[in-house]
Formats: sequence, structure tokens, C-alpha cells
Amino acid sequence: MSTLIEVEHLSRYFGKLIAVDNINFTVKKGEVLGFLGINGAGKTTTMQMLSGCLAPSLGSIKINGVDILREPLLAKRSIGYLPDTPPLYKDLSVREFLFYCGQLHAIPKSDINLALDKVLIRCGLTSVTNRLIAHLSKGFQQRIGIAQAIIHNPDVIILDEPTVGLDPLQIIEIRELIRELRQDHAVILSTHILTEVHETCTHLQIINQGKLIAKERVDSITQSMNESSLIIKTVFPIDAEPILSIEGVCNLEVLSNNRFKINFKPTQDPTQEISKTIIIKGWGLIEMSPSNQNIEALFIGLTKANNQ
Amino acid sequence: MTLITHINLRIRMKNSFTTMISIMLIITIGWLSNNYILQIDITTSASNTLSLDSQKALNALPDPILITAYIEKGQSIRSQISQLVNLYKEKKSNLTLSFIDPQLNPEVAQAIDTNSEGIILIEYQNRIVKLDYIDENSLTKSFLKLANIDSQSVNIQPKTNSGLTLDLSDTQISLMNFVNLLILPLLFLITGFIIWHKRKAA
Amino acid sequence: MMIFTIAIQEFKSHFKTPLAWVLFAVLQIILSYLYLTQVETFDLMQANLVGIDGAPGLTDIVVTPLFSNAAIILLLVTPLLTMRVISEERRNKTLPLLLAAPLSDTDIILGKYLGTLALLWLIVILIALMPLSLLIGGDLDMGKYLANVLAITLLVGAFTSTGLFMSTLVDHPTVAAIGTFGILLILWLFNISKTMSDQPNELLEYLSLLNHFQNIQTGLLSTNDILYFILFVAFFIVSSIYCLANYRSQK
Repeated sequence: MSTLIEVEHLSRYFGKLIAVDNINFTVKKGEVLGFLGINGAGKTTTMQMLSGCLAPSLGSIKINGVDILREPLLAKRSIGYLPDTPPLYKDLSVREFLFYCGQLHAIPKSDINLALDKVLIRCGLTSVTNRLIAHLSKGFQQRIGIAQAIIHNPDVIILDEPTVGLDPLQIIEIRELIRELRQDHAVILSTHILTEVHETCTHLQIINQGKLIAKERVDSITQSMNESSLIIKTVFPIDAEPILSIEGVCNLEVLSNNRFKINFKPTQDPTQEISKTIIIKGWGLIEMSPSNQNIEALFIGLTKANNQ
Repeated sequence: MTLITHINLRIRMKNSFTTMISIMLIITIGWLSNNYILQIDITTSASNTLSLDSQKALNALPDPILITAYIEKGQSIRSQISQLVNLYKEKKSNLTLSFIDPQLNPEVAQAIDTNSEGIILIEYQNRIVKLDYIDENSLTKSFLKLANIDSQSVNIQPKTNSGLTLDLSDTQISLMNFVNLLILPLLFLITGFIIWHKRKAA
Repeated sequence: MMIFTIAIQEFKSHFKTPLAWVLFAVLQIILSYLYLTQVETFDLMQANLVGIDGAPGLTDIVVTPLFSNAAIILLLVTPLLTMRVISEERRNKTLPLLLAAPLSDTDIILGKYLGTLALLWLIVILIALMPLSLLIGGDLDMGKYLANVLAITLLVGAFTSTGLFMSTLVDHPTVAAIGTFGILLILWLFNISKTMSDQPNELLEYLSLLNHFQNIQTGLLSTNDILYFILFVAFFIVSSIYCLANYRSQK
């Protein structure tokens, strides 16, 4: 599969403040990359640089093999961008606005109406085609924002918090749309909603204080979620040997004084064996609870560790 | 090898540089355009063109001419005079015009005996001609006097302006009033209202 | 091509709000009132004019003042029309639409400029049509009339470029309007040095908008007056492009 976005050593400084610090990543066709981070982590800055709205301090961005700094006009032809606030001319009607967007993105005159009709259906805007944007609800405005980004059928779609401020039903619709787009585009979306990543993305990237601190495939995280674990608290310290020798146990992590995490294969539940062992050894079992690792845990764990 | 390594700052520098070059180019063209002037009088009455007699009078005076106008500041006549003199200046580069406010320089004013309306002195080869009214006719006649040419034979006709009469009937004038002051503004307002109303409903 | 796409959109957007229409109506009333009083004045004094040598004609008494008045009124109106051009896009955060599209900064600025200028030129046409009704009953010096039309066309171009620059420079539309008005008024008043001092400052006199405007109004077209307006526009367009480009590469 072809690489559509190639980011190398990308940094952005605002005076002395480092907003984005030396990040690298690639996105291939068919991938949806979720950009995860707390507010102010550098998500929006990165998106602005990818879309060509902001010049980076260091590094290079290649869109579909074209350097966006060297040949901005050519590179931008393959980008669709939805900023954190959808850029809408509110005193135009939906059709007028999207027609203008089509013209701006250099769609040939004969094809604009076709592209327009297609995008109206795709984003569920057919019922409001001739309404003024100012009179529409936030959900519709957000959809017009997405329509604006995909009308020219770009290879790369950059969506900055596409589901913010929408009601649950609308969120589901937009997620479905993004999943649909994934087929023949490369999509980057930023979010701070964790379940969203799980729902829509194929890849996950966590950014904190301008640095990339994790890069994972979403399905591999889901895999590791299936690998169950137990949290155990005892009065006295324990030895690792007897526990690891129990069948099914993979490893043992020390969380804090007398608190441990035991990972095991879900197929062979060794919980009974473990409790028996601890009681026999007389370590004083206080607590024993199942724990499931998920994106939330991963995110919080990594962000905290990075901040310390 | 560039000292500035940050791409955004480098773009900024490049941007500033091209802007500076462009602005320097603009200033240069502006300066040049002020030194090499081409003029064309497009009025039907040729009101901005010096008559042949005036041009002949100028040709008879090769040395520098100094025109000094004793006129109070802030009078619009000052710009009218400089506009007239500019017509002569185009044909003769060593003609200079300067203004002196008689109220600010009472001694000078007294010495040359200005009246309240102001006075214009024309100086050529240490000879002086005084004028209290200036137009093309009087100015050219003074030039002829300074050139020792008999000025009686010359009489420069003022430019005949086209359109000295306006023949409109009262009905035509009230129709003009009606269309300009009522019909057109109303038309604009109604169109504006219709469009606004339509869009409000959308 | 892209320049015209933006320009047409900008031009059309003015007519989607009632603002342009109300403005047209108000301008039409004010200017035609001033113009009609001038026609009446001429009607009353024409009997006296016939006998005088070199007396001012219909063109001097009606047409030239009409365009001079229009110039001053457009000095007040242009800032209102240009103030929102870029600054409102920045405030409403719609600028990324243009910045992320395959357009250069020059395309954006020139498109916005031409779009707004087209609206003002429409107002100029409205004004220029007024004196033509005089042809029914009188004679106009058509050369001088055309010179007046040219003068106001160029002047409006200069006004718009200043307005566009201020709108690119500041975020607040009202600040942009006041700034534009300030710059234009100062440039307009530089002309005062011509009658207020014995030795007029050549640079100030060159910079004065009114000076060049009046020069063209006389019907004597000279290259330096026309180039002045072209260079004036070029200066503010270049500065606007500079500002917009800096917006992308902000520190």
C-alpha cells in the first residue's frame, strides 16, 4: 500500500515554547490514524502544519510524495482539511458554499455539480441543500465542514476533532462516514475521546507536550486487552518463583509495595491456583481483582509517566 | 549554509526580502515617474494647453524667470496660480514660482506696495513687472513686455468652454429629481429587502 | 483563474446582505441631491456666464464638483466595505478554508481586492451615469468628463487597497475601518501644505491623494499622476501579501 503522509522530524516552536517536538510518522492508504492527546498537547498545531496553514520550524512533510513546503499548491491538491472550528461562510446556503469549495479546490467546472451531489448524499445533507448555513444546527454544520474537506476527493483527509459537540447519534453517523472514507483515503483525525479511537481508527498515536509517546496498532491493543490480568495486594512481600510456575501465568509486574499485577492467558484461568498458593505461603491476601487493560489505561498511564 | 535554521523563520525572511525589493522598486518607479513626465490634454476645449502666442512669448525669454506671488496662506487662488504657471513651466524649465505671505513679511510687502488682494511680481534680467490680476492673457502680455515685444497686437482669447447653456424645461428637471432622489433609491431598497427576506426564510 | 473565483465570490457576497443595497440607496440620495442643487445653481447663473470671457462651463460647475463630492463620500464609505474582507475571516476562523486550498497568498489577496473593487466600481458607474442626463439640454466637455471618471476610478482603487491592507493587518473590523479612514484622511490632507506654506514640501505634495486626483480632474492626464495611483495600489497589495504570508509563518 502506498504511503500518503510522510512526516519527518517535524517541530514547531512558538517563540521559546515548543508546541511540537521532533515527531515522525507515516500514514498509508486505507489507514485511519487517531491522534490522541490532552488539550494543548500539540494536536491542532500538527494538523495545521499538515494542512499547510502553518509553516513548521523544522522537519519535512510529504503528502503523496510531494513536499508541502517546496510545492505547496501541488501538495494541497491532495489534502482535505477540517480545522477545529469548521470554516463556514454562514450567510451562504449549503449548496452555494460547497460549490465555492469545489471551485477553490480546482475541480473542473463540468464535474463540480456531480461532486457536489455525491458529497451531499455522503454527508447526509440532501435535506438541507438550500438552507442557509447560519440557520442549521451544530451537527449539520460539522457535517458541512466534513463535506468541505472531502468534496474534491483528496487522498489525504485531515480532521481536527470531527465529533466534538455532537450528540451521540450524530457521532455514530460521523464515525460510520469516517470508516467508509477509510477505504480509499488516508485519514488522520485528532480527538480526546478515547472510545472514538477504538471505534474508528486503525492506528493510534499519543502525543503529549509536543512529543509522540506511543504508536500502536489499534487491533494489537485490542489483542492485549484479551490478555487478562489480576491485581493482587498482600500484607507481606511475595516471591515471584512459585507464582510464575503456575500454568498459564505469563509474567508478574510489581506495581508498588506488595501490589502486583499478574498477566495470564485468558484460555487457562489460573486465578484459583494463585489464590491457593498465596494463602499456603501465608503472604496475607488482602485484595484480588481482575483488571482489564484498555486504551484509557494506556493513555493515562503513558501521559502520567511522561509528565513525571 | 544559512544561519537561520528554522523553516518558518526562513520563510519569513524570504518574504520580508521580496517585499523590501518590491517596495524599493515601487519607490524607484515613483521617483522616475516624477522626473520623466508625459502629458496629454484630453479636454475638448483644450483648456490645459498653452496657446501658441504664449509659447512664442516664452521662446523670446531664454534667461531664468522668477515669479513671486504675494498672497496670503490658505487662499485657493494659490493653487490656481500654480496650476496656470505649471502650463508655462512645462515649456520652460528655468521658470520658478514662489509664494510669500504679505502678512508674515510686512516689510517686504510694504516695499513693493501690495494691496489686500495680493500681487504678483515677474522678474527677468533684473527687470520687474507687477500684476494684480493673473490669467494666461495678462501673464503672456507681461512676458512680451519683458522681452521688449509690442504686446498691443497680441490678445490671447480665453478658452471657450463648451456647454455654457443648459436648456432644460421644468418638467425635465423635476423628472430628473424624481428619478434620482426617489425612484432609484427606492428600487435599491426594495431589491435589498426582497433578497434579505428570501434569504432569511431559507 | 483562482483569483477570479475568489473575486466573484467576494463580489456576490456583498449582495447577499442588505448592506450593499442600503448603501447604494443612501449614496444615490446624497450624491444626486448635491448634483441636482449644482444643476439648479447653474440654471440660475447661466445668463450671467454668457458675457464673461473664459467663464466656467457646465462641466466645471456641475460635473467636477459632483466627482469631488463623490470622492469625499467614498472616502467615508470605502472603509466600511473593506473592513471585513480579511479580518472577519480571521475572527470567524474561516481563513483556513483559503489557506488549506491550493491557492497562493497572492491569489487570495488579489481575489479579495478585485471582488471588493468591483463593488466600488459599480458605485462609480452609478455616479458617472448621473451627469449624462444633462446631454438632453446642454453640452458637456466629454474629455473633461472622462478625465473625472478616470480620476474617481483610480482613487477608489487606492482607497480599496488601503482598506484591504488594514483588514489584513488587524483582527478587528472596526479597528480596520478606523485605521483605513485615518490613513486615507492623512493622505488626503497632505495637500494642505500646498496652500498653507510658502515652500511646499515636495514629498508631501507627491504623496497627497487629493493633489493627483485634482490634477487628473482638470483633464490634463500626466503619466506621473496615473502612475501614482497604480504604485499606491501596488504598495498596499504587496504589504497585504506580506502580512498574510507572515500569518502562516508566525513566530
